[in-house]
Amino acid sequence: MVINVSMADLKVAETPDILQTTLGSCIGITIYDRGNNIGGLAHIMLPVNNNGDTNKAKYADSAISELIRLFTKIGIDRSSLVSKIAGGAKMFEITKKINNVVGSSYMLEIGLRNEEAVREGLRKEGIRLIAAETGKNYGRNIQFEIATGKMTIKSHGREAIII
Amino acid sequence: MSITAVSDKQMNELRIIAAKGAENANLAFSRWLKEKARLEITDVSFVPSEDIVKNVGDADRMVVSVLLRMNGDIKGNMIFIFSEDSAAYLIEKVGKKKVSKLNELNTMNRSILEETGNIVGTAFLNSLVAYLDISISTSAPAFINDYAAAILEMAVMEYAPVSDYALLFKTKFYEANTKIDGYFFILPSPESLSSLLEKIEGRER
Repeated sequence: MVINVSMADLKVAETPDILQTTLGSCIGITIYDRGNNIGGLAHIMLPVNNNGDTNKAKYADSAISELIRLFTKIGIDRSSLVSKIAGGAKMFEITKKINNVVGSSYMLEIGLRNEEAVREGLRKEGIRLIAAETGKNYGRNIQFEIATGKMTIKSHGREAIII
Repeated sequence: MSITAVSDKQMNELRIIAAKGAENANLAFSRWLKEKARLEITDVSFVPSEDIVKNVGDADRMVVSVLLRMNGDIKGNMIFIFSEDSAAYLIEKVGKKKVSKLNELNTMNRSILEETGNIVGTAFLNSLVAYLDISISTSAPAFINDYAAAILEMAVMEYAPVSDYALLFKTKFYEANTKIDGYFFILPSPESLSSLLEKIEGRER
């Protein structure tokens, strides 16, 4: 079954399921355990959950903790978890040419800030990041196959990338 | 900003503004297509940023989009989203020639779509400017061919760090009896939205 993960949402599924989402400057974080045929995908929008927002999936730090909590709750050892990430496009590069008046660095760099927060969050939690396909200036559709741990990334006018 | 702070009066005014804008955009769109076309406002609402992508049907499909930047008393983004088929149809209508494959979008065809966004968007804003006695300028249109979800995500991400909600003016397009699979969104920045609401509140009807 292909399970869709919306913006600011996260899902955990088992083999033979596929988790999918489409990303712009957001980041898709997969954390999985191939040996136990289980994996999760979070579609985060912002770097840090500063105000204790109950929607944990919206932020890099709280989404990572939440995914780990869901795995450890069912007895999965966190040392067997690994991660792959995709997204974090600097999509506003496209519009820079029309952006000569407005354009805070924050907005231009939100994709980058998201990526940094994800990497930092994984490091803090001791989860090994084994592959990443991030940045650039286009959207990505990702399909994550739990059985193989393969992430297929499609984008407009380009060959699909598998990480 | 908090949506609970928006009064019924302000909400009504926003709907009136949207309807007036659409009326003006209709005229411009019809003149541009040389056919009776209409732009219908289907919704004016505040939506959580993360829910905006739920407003374009299948958000995982490739679409053609034209983005305009608003500056002046209202800052923000205006986004047109057309399905690839509808984009080809618009090019055929305006350019009077067959478009076999959208992948081969040349500069000429792109400009037709950019100009469509420009004409409709500016017409919408002109009525708003006149009604509220404010000033807004727009950037040159930018063309993007990407996933609908990625484009909308990009548009809301700019304000997501400072606002959990986006004001959405959602519209649909029709040309004669043909439904054009297109959407038009206006996303004002949170600051300009606050001043817009203030302006509306202070307005005598």
